[in-house]
Amino acid sequence: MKKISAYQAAALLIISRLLMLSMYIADNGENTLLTAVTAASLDIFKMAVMLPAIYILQKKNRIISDRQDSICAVMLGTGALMFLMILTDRFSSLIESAAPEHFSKLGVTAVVLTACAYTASMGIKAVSRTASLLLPIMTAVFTMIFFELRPGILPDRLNLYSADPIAEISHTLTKLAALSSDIFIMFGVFPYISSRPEKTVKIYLTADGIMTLLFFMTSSSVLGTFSGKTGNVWTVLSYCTHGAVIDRSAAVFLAASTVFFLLTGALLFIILKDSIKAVKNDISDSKLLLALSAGIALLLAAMSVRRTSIATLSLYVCAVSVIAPIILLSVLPSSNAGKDK
Amino acid sequence: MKDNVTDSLSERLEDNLQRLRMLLGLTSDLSCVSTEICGTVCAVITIEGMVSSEMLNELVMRPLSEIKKNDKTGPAEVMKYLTEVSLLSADRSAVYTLSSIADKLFSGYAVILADGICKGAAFGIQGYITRAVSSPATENDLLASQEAFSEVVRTNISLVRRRLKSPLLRFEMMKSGRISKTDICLVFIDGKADEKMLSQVRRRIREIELDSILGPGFIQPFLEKRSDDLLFSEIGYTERPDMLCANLIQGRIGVLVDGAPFALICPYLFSQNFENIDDYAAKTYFASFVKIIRIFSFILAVAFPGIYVAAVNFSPEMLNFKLLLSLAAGERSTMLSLFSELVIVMILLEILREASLRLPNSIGTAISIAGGLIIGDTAVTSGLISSPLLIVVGLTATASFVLPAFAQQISVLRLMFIFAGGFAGFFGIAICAVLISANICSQSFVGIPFTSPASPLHSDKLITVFGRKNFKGMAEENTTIKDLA
Repeated sequence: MKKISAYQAAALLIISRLLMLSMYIADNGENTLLTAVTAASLDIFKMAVMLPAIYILQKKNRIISDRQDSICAVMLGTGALMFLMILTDRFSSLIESAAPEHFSKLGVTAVVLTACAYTASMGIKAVSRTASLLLPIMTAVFTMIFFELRPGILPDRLNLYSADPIAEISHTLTKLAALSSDIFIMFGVFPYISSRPEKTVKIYLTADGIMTLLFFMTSSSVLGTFSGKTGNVWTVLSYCTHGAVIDRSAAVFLAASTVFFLLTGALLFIILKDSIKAVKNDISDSKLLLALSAGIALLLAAMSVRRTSIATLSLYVCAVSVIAPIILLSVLPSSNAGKDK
Repeated sequence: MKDNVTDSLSERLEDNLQRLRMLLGLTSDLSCVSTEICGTVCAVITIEGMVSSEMLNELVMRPLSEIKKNDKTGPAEVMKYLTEVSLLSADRSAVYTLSSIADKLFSGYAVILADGICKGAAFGIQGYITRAVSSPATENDLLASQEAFSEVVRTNISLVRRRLKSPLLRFEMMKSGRISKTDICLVFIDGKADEKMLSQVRRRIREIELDSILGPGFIQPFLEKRSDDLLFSEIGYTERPDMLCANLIQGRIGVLVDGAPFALICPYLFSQNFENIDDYAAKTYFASFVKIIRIFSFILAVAFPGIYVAAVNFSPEMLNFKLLLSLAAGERSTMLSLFSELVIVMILLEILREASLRLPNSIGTAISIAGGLIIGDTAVTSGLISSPLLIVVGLTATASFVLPAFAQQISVLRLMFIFAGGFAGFFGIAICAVLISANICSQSFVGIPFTSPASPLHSDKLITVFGRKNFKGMAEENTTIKDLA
């Protein structure tokens, strides 16, 4: 189970965070500078909560890594499923909105889920190595694009004014916390880290702070008060680039979000697969991943047809994640419990 | 047990000869010359063409005929004399079974059987026709050795031994192939090569269940664990003894196969494909520069046509306005869509490459002229393809020639990128890139990741990916491939 290094895990988490940022939709009239400040405070809060949690988990040595705690496995699996569905839905909407004449939401959903399943079939080592290989490349590309954005960055557009700052901060805090799939992914990745997971947390949260601040500050200084009216900030920001070689980097931003999604999706697929295998071990990996991708695609298609929102579904999923462990507890032999101790 | 009994030699020479003829299916190239040595009837058995007739006469026939005919001794003494005392050949051994006699005969030995004893003597006097050691055909260089491996495994062993005069250098002979019984030689440096890796390689070669091994390509899929699922190979080829030696020093294992002028190198990392022996003869900065050019060429050869079609068809806003106008003017004059044009031209390019690859040089040049100049020029003037597209194809083709080791992968991956870019633009390109990267990153050979040292990151060895260490640095480090696990 312990297969990846702390750095590789951090690379995976950074990529999943970049995905969340690339799909961030600003509220109408949102002050993104205030969002940046709130995000930074949230990051400090995350560090204050997660570091002790990781230390406790290490000390207790009781985590689903040994695949014996079926309850944790079921809950983790349902969480992964839910996040996978939410992310796929949002990502396919993003791609469809970027070029509606070329892409349909359903087609994008089917393609990306199949691609995620294939990537996941290569194993956690392959996914983490890919992440740590692609992350520096992405960083280099974005550094270049950032320099291309420089002429458009005007500090006088930064404005902290808000009519009701407390209400706006609390709203943004709730919104950002709801989007923090990184906390879930971090605990999902934890069992795979070979040593020093606290290092992963430190690297990731530091990078998260820098990325989030940079992203919201850039959007605020480039777009000014319009940043709250643009919808997907990432896409609009990409239209503001102007480089010597590449005129407008919208396509590069789109490709980058796709890379982030595929790697995050593959990671969630692996967590989901391992959770299922912790309960039922006699299924082959490839068949399971194929069935999962087909199942999720069909479910999302059905929801799209019935116009059911993911939020409604997540309610049912949460209910299942509570009921299923209770059923499992009554079904599984008692000797299974506490085997890790 | 019963097979062993029938396979064993009997005391009657005639019986042994008869059974050997039957075992070899009365093959017409079996030669048996009967003679009498010290009163004992003996037979000298060879396979025509496998032994040197000069050596047979000088080292076997003449010494045997010069033994005093009046000294009457028994067959046991004759055989003892042949296998223990005489110096007919430096390579001598005793044989006890018909199958071992057959093996020896097919390896170019002369076998002497005597009447009255169930034992034979084998002498290595190989003399089959072989190609002389020549210069490398596919790994040309400017300042390194001009010797390449030949088809005979023994010659190849000597080429390696000459370069590494170390008592730690080991050669391990094995046989593989149910019918071909091909000689396979494992080469490694004791203490440098990982024991676990060695035993894995030995086991994988032993488990090959093919009738014939006619080259290293027959062994390679068995050495890799998931050969059919992988785009690239964890096993490398080289036809240069100096390149093999460089790899052996780093703790890798070489596999020489009789009949092929190539050596297999296990494991072979992705970054090694961008290396060349000339890098060590060049200045450090130039070696690094050339390496970056090779990496860039690989990306260009694989992804450039796909990116081009994606940019023009899906994201024209990326392109500079003047460039866009020029491309639009070019495309307006053609009758096919850009994607169709690109697919057709790329397939034509592959046809031309395949046609010129296996033809004599003179005809190959003619095909290049016919394909490149006549077809290309006519296609542009007739409006079948646009001029900018021809530039893209030309650039891509030239870039792909920088890395001949990746010829197979480049051809297929390039088409994949074209289809991905043509159908889904940069969204497709990104999917393609992740899938290929994940496939590459999933590869490893006995615990050594294929993408090492870039991922997992070994910062102290990262320089070998984008350049090379200077000789002082190389002298100071004493690392082996195990350190990249």
